[in-house]
Amino acid sequence: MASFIGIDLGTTYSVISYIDDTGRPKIIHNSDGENITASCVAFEGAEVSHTGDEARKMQGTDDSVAAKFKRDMGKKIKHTYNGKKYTPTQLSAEILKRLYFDAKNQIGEIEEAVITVPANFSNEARVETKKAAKLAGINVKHMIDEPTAAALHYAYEGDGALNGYYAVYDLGGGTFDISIVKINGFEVDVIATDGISELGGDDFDAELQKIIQKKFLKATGEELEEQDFTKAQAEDSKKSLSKRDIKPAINKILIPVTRAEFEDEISGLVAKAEMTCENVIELSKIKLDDIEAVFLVGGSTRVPIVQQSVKRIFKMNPTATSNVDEVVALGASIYAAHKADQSKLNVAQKKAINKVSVQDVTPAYYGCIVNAFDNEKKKEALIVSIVIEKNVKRPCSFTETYFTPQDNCPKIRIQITASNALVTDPDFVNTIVDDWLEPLPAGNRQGDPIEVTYSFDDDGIMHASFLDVKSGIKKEISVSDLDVDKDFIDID
Amino acid sequence: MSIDNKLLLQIKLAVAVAVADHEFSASEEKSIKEWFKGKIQNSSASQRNKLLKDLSNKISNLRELAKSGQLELELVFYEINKIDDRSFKYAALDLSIEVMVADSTIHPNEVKLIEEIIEELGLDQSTAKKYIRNQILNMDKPPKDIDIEGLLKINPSVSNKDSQKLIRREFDKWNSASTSTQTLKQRKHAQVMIDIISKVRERYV
Repeated sequence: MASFIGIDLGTTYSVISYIDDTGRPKIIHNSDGENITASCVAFEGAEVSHTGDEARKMQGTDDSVAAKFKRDMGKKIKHTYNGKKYTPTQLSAEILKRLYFDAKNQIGEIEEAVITVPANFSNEARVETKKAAKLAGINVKHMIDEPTAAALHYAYEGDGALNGYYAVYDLGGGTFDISIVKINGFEVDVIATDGISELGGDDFDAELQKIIQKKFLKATGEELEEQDFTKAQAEDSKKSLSKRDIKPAINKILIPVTRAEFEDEISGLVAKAEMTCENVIELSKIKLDDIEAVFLVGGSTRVPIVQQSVKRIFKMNPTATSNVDEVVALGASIYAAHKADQSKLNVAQKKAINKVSVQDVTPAYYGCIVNAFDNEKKKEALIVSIVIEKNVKRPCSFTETYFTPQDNCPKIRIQITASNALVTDPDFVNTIVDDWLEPLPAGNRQGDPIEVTYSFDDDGIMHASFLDVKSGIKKEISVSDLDVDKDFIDID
Repeated sequence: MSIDNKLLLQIKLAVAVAVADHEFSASEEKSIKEWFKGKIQNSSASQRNKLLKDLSNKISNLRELAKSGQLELELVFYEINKIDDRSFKYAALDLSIEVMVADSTIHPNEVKLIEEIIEELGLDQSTAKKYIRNQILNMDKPPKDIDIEGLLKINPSVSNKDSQKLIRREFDKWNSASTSTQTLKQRKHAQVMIDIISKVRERYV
């Protein structure tokens, strides 16, 4: 029987699940018997020596451990370990290989895989995630946004009884997403989504490390070395702080930290999430009173101050009926079965899956840089003209018409931009494509129309076409085809 | 040979902004000089040397006048308004903002003076704000000590709820910039700005 898997490739932990013969999503544990696998890679020479928890424990004591590389996906960055350079894509592929290997060992051959990405992941990061899967030998046909996958799982778990608007609050190890969704039985319709690319439990751990470092310095007059209180220790101490005050022994000295001290230190981080929640509520145009429940997703939602913050913003206690570490992967496997060739599902799977429907939205504003007259400054200026807005239901396609700036224009510069906020300043957007529409035929006139069409597929990947209407000359660009492997910056 | 009067008016405003925080930093002076070099690049080498020498003298004098409160800004505003060229007015504002952020900080006094320039020259607030954001994004060093409340016009007469809204809108722009700008340096600056803004928000919860 064919197997359908969902992979939550997380910043700090990754999880994999599958749809069993009865059509229920189940977590696949790794070869260490754990449900979650640390997204860490340790190297020995040029070879990968460990992935997962063993590698995580080596962090801070060994320079050849890669972690948190998901935050760099899509950026032109290379990390160096033992003299060899790795892209975030290659490092992610190592984690995916481990997950896939463990999954195949337990459930046999895999038919369909879906991988999840943060809702506010850039286009390049989405493309690179797919590339990482390919490098790991996984046939990923579809991707789904993490909060959408979680919402799907909550709908599925509710056995079709949910009906109304819900918020999905997803605070993981490295990223934060908040989505407002409409759930009607097994149908999930995303209304609005927003997020912060660098906010998660890992930042909480870093703050705890700072507290300990300061206290250690005060108590001993000595600087604390990273290996004396590692990231892994900070993470474990943070978990304890969710229940009680702590007093870790560091170099035989007890360093007391109260929960209040920790919460005070991370309150600025929590404020970032609060502002993003307020923003998405406004974007969704849904009244707070109309939100039925707030579903928690991600391990960092276990931190008490986070739950208090959710209660303050949404005026209700949040809900976490499932294991918050696992819901994204579970939802992803449901989505994998939903998107699969239905003839490959057994009767029970078909019955369970066929009611599922998912409607996701565009992850950002996409536009192009055009020349326009600035009425304020009384001169020509470059501005960003938006073609597709954020939070538009996908798949979708929009066309805007622009005009050639002069007679006999030999070519038109194509600059496709992306941004998470609605901005018109070219400096505040990411130019994801910089190319030319050429050659335009001689004799063209100022004001000739150029049609720009942007469309979005189901996976959140964008495609664009630029057409000189008079001549029919056209340039088509799929952002997934772009070469993002050039101009890398090395980071040691 | 001395500095063109229009350029001198812009320099006067820039020096006033630089001195507003009671400290005329080397980076602020450097930014005026770099801007000026761009303006005189078509002059001959000997002319450029003379003009740069003149600029140094002018900056010294203006700095002392500004420090002692004798730099008559009303007169500078009057002269600029008399020229009645909107593009030129924005150029003057742009230089003042560039100088304001040259030391990676934005002091409340600098914000007040920028506000005064915008008002006196009849310029658009939101255009100015865009330019300030742009300058912060492209600073040499990461931003620090940015007077967010001043930039957002948050004062005791603004309710906590409205203050939160203003702060959130600003946060949204920088949060977007932290993933959507072109260079790693810009993204890092945006991250620093969202740290600064989220700390400010705590005062209005």
